[in-house]
Amino acid sequence: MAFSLELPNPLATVGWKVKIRDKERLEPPHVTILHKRHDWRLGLRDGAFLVPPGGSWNEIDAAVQEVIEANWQLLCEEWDRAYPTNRVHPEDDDG
Amino acid sequence: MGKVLKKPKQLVVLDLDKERFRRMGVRGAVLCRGREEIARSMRRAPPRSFWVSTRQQATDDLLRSVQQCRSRRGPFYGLVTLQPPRPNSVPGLSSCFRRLAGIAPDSRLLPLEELFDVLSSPGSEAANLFIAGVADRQSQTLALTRGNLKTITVPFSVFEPSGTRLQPDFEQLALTDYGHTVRLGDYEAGSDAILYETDPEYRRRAKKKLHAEEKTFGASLRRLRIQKGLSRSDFAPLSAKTVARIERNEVGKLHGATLRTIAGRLGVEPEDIESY
Repeated sequence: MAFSLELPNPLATVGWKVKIRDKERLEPPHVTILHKRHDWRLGLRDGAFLVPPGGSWNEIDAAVQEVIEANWQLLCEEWDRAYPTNRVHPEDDDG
Repeated sequence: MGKVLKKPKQLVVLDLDKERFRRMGVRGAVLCRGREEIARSMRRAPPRSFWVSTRQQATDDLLRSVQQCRSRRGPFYGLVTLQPPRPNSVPGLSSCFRRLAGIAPDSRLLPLEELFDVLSSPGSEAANLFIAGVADRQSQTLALTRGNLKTITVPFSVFEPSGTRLQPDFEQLALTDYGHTVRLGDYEAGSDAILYETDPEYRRRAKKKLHAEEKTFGASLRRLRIQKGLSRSDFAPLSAKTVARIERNEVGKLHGATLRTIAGRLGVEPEDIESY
């Protein structure tokens, strides 16, 4: 089942969503931030916005950024659970 | 050579409750109800117009109105039907509209508000979003229609189970998230993932955009920093947050002192950073 980060109101009611779906473009690991027609892919390895579509935090509600940063570990775990062959930190598997 | 101007795009909605239409506030959309209004809209609408029929009766009225508009030079761009049209009306509709969506009996469409929003968005954006789909168990394929009303056919096998072992349920097809997500029961697939896998033109555009981004100063800095094994907090007195903003190209032209700090820590000349 797709993972959807729980966002507090009013973020959820105005259409913000943060998801890791069952089929994503695999490389590199990321979460998808959705707001109506717009989407951003935020890389879980380095916190950079993936291109395409690119973008920056300036385009995203600051409260969404706060929730994502507070749940970063959970998002990494959920990605690893969905895509065990393309983990966020593959080097952790070595030791 | 002169700049190519985009032809105007118009959304015409047939037979929707006036109040509901008003509440949706779709930019530049026209509502028409009844054969007279449909015929009038047909005479006025530009060739690049998208028509949305909310009921089968309205689709029939639309087809009848074509008779009154014989002076038109060619077909309209597209028609989306929320209720599938009568099978016998499909050939006639095909001659009036270059593209049709929602005509298969088991078609699934985006929720109305999201559908209107996608159809009225710029063509390049709409093309990356799915507005309609139908699953065909016999051929094991999913036909997915994009916001520009072009349809792609995707084999069921593209939707492999993820690490959670969840299987897609093709009987439960739904489009959601303004066309960014194809839902198959509890299983969700990103539209960009589907397009990247199945559409070579989409892949080509994505790579072009990536290569353009890779040539920026920020991208060069990020590559060089990672290559040197440094973290963003290794650039004191610059904060890690500032380095992150520079890497994301959120900062304009850098001050000479900032540039020298970064280059010094990386062990390269300032003017060489962009070459990485």
